[in-house]
Amino acid sequence: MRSGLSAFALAAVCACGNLSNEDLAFLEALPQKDQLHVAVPVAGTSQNLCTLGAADVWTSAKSTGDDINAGVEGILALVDQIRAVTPTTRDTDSRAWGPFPDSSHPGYIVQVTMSRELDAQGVPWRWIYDIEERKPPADFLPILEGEFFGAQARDGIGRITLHFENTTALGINKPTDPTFPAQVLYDLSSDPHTVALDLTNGVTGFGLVGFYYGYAGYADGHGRFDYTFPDQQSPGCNVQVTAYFTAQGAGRATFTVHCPLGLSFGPVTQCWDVSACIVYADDPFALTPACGGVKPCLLGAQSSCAL
Amino acid sequence: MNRACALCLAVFVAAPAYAEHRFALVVGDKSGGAGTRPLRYAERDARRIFGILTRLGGVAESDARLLTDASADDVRTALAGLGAKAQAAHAAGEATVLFVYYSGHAKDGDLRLGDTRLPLSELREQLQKSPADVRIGLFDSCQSGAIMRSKGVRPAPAFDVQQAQQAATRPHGLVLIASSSADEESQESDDIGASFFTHYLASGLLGDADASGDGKVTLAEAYAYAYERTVGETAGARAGAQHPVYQYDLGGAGDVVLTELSPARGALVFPAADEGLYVVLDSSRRAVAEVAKPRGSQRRLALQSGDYVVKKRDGDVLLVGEVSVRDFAVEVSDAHMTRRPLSDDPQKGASGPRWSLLGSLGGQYFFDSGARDGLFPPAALGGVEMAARDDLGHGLAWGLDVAVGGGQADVHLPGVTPIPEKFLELGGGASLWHDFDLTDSLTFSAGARVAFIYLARQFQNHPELPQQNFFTLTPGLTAMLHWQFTQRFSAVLRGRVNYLFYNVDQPQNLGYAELALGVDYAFGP
Repeated sequence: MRSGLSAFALAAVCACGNLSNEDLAFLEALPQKDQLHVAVPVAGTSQNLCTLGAADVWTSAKSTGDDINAGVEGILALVDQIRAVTPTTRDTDSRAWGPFPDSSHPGYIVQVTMSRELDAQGVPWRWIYDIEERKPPADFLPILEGEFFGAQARDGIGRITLHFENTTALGINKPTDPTFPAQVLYDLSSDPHTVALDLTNGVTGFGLVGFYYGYAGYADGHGRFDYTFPDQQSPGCNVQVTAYFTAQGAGRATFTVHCPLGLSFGPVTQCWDVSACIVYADDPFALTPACGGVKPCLLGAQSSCAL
Repeated sequence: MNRACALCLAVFVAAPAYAEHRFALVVGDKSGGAGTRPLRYAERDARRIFGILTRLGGVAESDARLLTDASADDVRTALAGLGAKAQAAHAAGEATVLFVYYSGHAKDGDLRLGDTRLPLSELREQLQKSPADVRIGLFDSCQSGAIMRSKGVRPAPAFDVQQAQQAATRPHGLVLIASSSADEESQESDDIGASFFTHYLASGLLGDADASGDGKVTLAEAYAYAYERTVGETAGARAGAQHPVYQYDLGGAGDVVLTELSPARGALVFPAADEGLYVVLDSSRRAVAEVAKPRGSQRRLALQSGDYVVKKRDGDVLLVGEVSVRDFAVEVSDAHMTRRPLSDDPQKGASGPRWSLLGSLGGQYFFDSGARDGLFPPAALGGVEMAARDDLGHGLAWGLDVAVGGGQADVHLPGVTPIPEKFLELGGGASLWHDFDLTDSLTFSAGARVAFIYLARQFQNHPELPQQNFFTLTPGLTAMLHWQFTQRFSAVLRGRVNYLFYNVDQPQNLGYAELALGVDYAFGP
């Protein structure tokens, strides 16, 4: 009887649940996977029939974009865990989640803190969030730090610092992950949306060399891609690419091969159609296979370039 | 079924052996018009008396009129019709008796039949002028004693008929019996499902008033019995003791046999060895009669065929017997009744609570604009409420309700594109209220309610946002307006005001209102 009364009294004074508009405000400031996706048009499937050969640089760009997307999704999976968990503590301008078990890594504990700053009109303009993880009895280590400017992630500017050095130390890294801090910078506030991966602190990551990777996607589907990757055929050399593409997948790339001792080969210009077939090449070093090693090489008509 | 029937006694079955040609006008009207509260048992009272008079009182059904929900003119017409028949019988040389029974409202010198009035003085005059040799008026209504002139009205336990009974001639004259004096209220009882006076009058007429044990219940016996039991049972009532009064103006052999028990086919017989207060309930658990029996004499209760339950309190136990009355008498003895804890059935024979079911549609609105902005947006609600009246006493009713509803809204956050949401709400509660009858058909109710509320919402086109929910208890006030448009159906307008404590974000004291329209269905007889 007494316990029943106690339960009733508890229910009477305790409003239970997670119904909160303010929680929504915090969650809307966190970036989502699709908001940071690199949208590279899918190449055609009839490249074997290409007269001047396949645009292998562009094809590798698509592959690289997929790798980047996978990497970003892996990062944001940590952020997504916040959405599924009710905040542990709520203050006017901050939230804390956890510590709670990391569902992706059994035996590990995660805790998240998030705070915001409001402007004079009470509109949030800056958000800061930190994700820390530990494996008991070790202490927490920061594995992700984020900063966001705006009220909602879908149209704001943000930065995410990934502490791969700590995920590596904790043993929760992926084999392809770098072992040094990396930054994702994104600007979704205007057209184009830009996403950049700054790997300048280290050597390689996500199959890329330590370099700045940039992507700019416009609302109508066309975009620009800047990245660098190791040249498989010339060990020690990297290929630096700037590619422009249409929403349909046709495009133009300019790349230069940088090798040790200050040697550079380029720039080489290639244009391709929606089937990723080269329609134009201006290749002074005959790096394009269809050139057959004849330098300088000029294939197709420049007017065939879509961009 | 445990039967208390120990002995079935064959009885001599014969037609009533009344010397007079008897007529009866029985009127029951629950409605007294503006300013009165509907009576619960007036019509049942009338039906009981009608049944007794036609079954045991020597009144042929063709000479009896039962009026319920009638107007004053209906009564006048029926009375005139029976008067004409009595005139014809009188002209044919028959002795005649006219019974007039009324159960209903009376106020300010009038019988109130719905919105019509029948002055008591007029009714008295009609009875005085009636061609029947004996006219007996029985009135169970508030202040019904006003029908008698002050001179000669007696609130006494028995008629003084000894002198008149010595006369050799047939009785003739007028007897008026009222359930209460001119300044008293006549009371109904939910415990017995009848008005006190009629209940004991009926019990007496069925046999318990047969003090002489001759198988006949006379007018004097019936009155004496009804008087004693009514005064005794109402002595502790909140409204005060109720004293039946009479005016007796009979000449000749001045007592009249009202009911004869012997011709009845079925009866309960309480043996001489037993004593105590027995309550007889019919199959619907309504009190049919009571028997207050002393040790040493047998008591016979003439009943219609049917199944009955007989109860008797004996110290801290309850004796219960189930009997089936058919074309024979059934003896009910304590020895053959089942003994149960008193807590099993504390009621004397109540009809029990009146249950009703309300279906309603309405809406919910939070007073605070911030709270309405997505957190507790206006919602449509549909629900049902089961209510019980006459269960707690003191005019209180209680109910349990549940409702479900929801809607769509947008969550507005500073700097954020409005977030569309769909929300579901589930609520329920327990209410306690008091009914106030405004008119015959209009009732206002006010009370308190404790409820729970559960809210869940999900966000359309925002799969990244988790579903949210909230649960709490909300005390509040409730008010209802009932308009009864048929015997069972009422239209209901209900308003509630509730308090809600919200503490997921910053603690807030919130208030909200609910308004609903519904239809209420009343169960039971």
